[in-house]
Amino acid sequence: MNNQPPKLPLRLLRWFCDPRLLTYIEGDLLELFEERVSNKGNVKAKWFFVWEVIKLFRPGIIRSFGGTYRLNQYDMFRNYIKIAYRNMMRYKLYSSINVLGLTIGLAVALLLLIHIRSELSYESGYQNHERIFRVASTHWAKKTPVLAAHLEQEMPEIEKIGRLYFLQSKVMKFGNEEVLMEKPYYADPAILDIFTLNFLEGDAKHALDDPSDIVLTRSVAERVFKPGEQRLGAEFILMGSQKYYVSAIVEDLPKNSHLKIDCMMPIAGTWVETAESRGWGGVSTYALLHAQEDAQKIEARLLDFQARFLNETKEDILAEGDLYELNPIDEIHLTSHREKETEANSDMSYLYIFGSLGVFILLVVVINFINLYVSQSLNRLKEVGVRKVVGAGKGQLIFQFLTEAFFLVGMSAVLAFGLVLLAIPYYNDFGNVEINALELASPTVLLMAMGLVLIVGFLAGGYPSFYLSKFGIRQGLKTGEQKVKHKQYLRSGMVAFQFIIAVFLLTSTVIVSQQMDYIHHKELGFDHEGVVAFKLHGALWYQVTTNADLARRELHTKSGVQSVSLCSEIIGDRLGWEPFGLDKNPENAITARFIRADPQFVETMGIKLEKGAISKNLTGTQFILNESAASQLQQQENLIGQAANNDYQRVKCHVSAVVNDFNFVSLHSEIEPMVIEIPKDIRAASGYLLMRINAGNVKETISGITEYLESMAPGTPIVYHFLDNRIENLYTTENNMFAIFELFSSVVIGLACLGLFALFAFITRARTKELGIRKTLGASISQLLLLLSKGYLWLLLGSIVLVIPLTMFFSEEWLSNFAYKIDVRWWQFVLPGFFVLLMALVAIVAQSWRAVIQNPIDSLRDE
Amino acid sequence: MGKYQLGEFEEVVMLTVAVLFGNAYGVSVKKEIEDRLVRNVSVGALQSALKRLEDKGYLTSAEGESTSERGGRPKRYFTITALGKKAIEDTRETRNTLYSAIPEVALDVKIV
Repeated sequence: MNNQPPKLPLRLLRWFCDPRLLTYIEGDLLELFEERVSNKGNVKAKWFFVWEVIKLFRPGIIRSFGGTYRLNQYDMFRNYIKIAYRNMMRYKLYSSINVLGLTIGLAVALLLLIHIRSELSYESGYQNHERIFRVASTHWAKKTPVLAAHLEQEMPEIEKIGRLYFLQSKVMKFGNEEVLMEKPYYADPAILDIFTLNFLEGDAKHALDDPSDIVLTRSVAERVFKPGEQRLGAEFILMGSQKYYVSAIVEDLPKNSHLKIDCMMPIAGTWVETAESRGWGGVSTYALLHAQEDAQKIEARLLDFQARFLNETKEDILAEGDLYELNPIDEIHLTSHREKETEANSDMSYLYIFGSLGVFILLVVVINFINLYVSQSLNRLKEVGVRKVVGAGKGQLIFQFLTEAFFLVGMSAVLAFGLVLLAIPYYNDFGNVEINALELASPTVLLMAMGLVLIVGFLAGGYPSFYLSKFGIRQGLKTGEQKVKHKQYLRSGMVAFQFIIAVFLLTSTVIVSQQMDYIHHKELGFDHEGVVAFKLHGALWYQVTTNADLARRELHTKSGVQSVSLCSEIIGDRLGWEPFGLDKNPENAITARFIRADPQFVETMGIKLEKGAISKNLTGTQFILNESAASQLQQQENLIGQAANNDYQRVKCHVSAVVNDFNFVSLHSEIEPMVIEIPKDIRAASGYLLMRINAGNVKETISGITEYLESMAPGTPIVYHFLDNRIENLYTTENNMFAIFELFSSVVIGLACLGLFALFAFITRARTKELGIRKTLGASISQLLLLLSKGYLWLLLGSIVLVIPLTMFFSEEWLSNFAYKIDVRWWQFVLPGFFVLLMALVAIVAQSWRAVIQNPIDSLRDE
Repeated sequence: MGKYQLGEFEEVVMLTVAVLFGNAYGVSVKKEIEDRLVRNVSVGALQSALKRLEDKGYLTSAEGESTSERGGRPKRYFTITALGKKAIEDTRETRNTLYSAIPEVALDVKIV
């Protein structure tokens, strides 16, 4: 018969009960149990027993778990910190490497954290940002001006809808000065409400009501007006005739926004407003919805709407694949890469890359810490032994070493904060980002930083503290041989891991830098060096275009100027798509990018003429096609001289020449069909004065040109770009991201190498005696070196094999962003790996050299 | 009053220990209370009360003989100390004073 009381509650009781009371209580319980077994049966008695035990959970009975040492906790804690400090001071090199590594690691992680946060924070500065949507389509960020009114009528979910039209940078006349507005916009009054712009001066309700109103942002107002000057009502003149009067001044738009606005004028009554074309993508349309969820309701009806609006069938629209959609503005900065974006947007993938870099760096730092700490621990065994003799338990030792780890991590974190604070301005410059140093003080960042410290502290301190506290008293206090076995698989794992990270980052850096290099040096199909473009605006535009021939002659006399041309856009500007077809063959019409220029354009740009000739005698419009356009027309024979038309502009004339393909946009995209239209009179279309100059004395040439242009239009700001700079600007995002990536990769690689160094130092030290014995028995130096490095050679080779497919995958992913990319060759994967391997071997040899070379008597003497 | 702090349950325990004179240990006290007062007493409540009273100095305890029925665990016998005696006397006194202070009418009132 089983009339034993249940074991588990009894054990529980013994655990929590005050030992002074335990025996009596246990006795009482057992007595009652036995009585109940005979009265009420086994099962009931057992349940009673459990219940009684549970009811014993009360203050007088539970023992105090702090035990007797609870009283000393504070003093012990102080002692731990003191010992940690003394140890730090005693082994200055180790500790400084450790703290330095941790500081750099934490600083980089923190910086990346803030960077990612600031990227994610785009548009959050607008009060209603969650309810604001941009009306766009699959491929286009901008749509027709007519769209907004129709949408508002049909979609009751829309609270407000407004349009923005970007005028390109303009100069406006203010008094006698000409003021450069880089981001002037035509806007609907609703835009002010949708983005809840903050009015500093002027009437918020009627700021854009009158056709002559202009709203300035604060920074522009501060630039233009003297302090204390009357701002409201000030007159600005656009394009020589259109007069505007300041109606309001608003706070600058948040920096973390895809919209950058200098000034706004009413869109109502402008040609933009009256443009009827429904296919034209010209204005950005923003809608404020009543609720965020309404977006789905609208999108469900959007296809129907589009079909009615464009008067096409749904099937046609689906086949074309350019569907209307609502983009939450919060997502634009990181996900939208449509035609006609307001600015080059960033990409989610960069955030992932930065995030992984941050994690990598933290892991490397943690591993370093563990390695350094454990290798340092040889010196601490005696301390552990003494502490144990005096009565420290394992738990206390763990607590001590964790305290020490947290002491170091906490110190590093404080240093890291300072470092980040100092680094932010440089980082902003370096990566061309705008991070606010105040972010550091935001509660979320502080909380995350604290979490970071906790995680790093536990990861870094956890293993060493368990490892150290395990040593027995004897091991600690015995003099002479100290045998410390660092667990083999763990050590190998850590080495392999660091190695993989180092090789991965190095390979990626090599591939990324080669791709960037390729982009910068690829033949673009024209000679981009030595071409300078002067923006024509304001009075300068008027003077140059009115007296074009004179200007041309005058400019040719300046030293260094080879050729002069007028054109509508330059590389880096988005060219519009327009239809183009041959009169003879209208079914085969194509759409092509259009640029307008004078006959000197091809020569100035250094584009190669393939067929035909460009007539300088302007009797009518001539078209110059690039090879892609020519081949798409499927009319290779007799193309030159054929009558052709551009439907959109209703221009009719002939094809005069074919030029080779050249890259007019970034190398992300393939070369597209392109038409250079040479109109009879370029005047209205001219946007730039393009000049090819000698490489000889650029400075002098530029100042000569500038002087002349200034004399033509005094007061107009002269803005010019070198084409190679413009091309460089096409890759700003990549360049910036690459700069950051390269910087932090090298930090990670450096830290990883540091860690490997420290680890080998430890290993060699632990094996000094073995080496001495081997040497006495006749081993040569090279044999010893081989012995030390052999194990790692295999490990490292294995890591290389492991890392290659990983790198291949990611680099292919990244390269697929480019239409023109490098061929990745095998050595690009293998070489960096072997480079790191070589470094590791050098590290091994360097670290073990002293141990190997030293006289065995020194290492064996102390026994 | 006020000099001796004694809760209601504590008072019951003290009295029972006194009643059991010389034979008061956990189970016997528990049973005595359960029999006389017809209320359930858990080991936990009893033990913590006993401990509290001992800490206050109203009770002392001594280890008794071990018996087989308790799995070999010794009993712990409680006796009242002089201080404990004063405490229960004081409590009783207080009660009596209060009782005698009640005007007779107050107890005559029938509560409907």
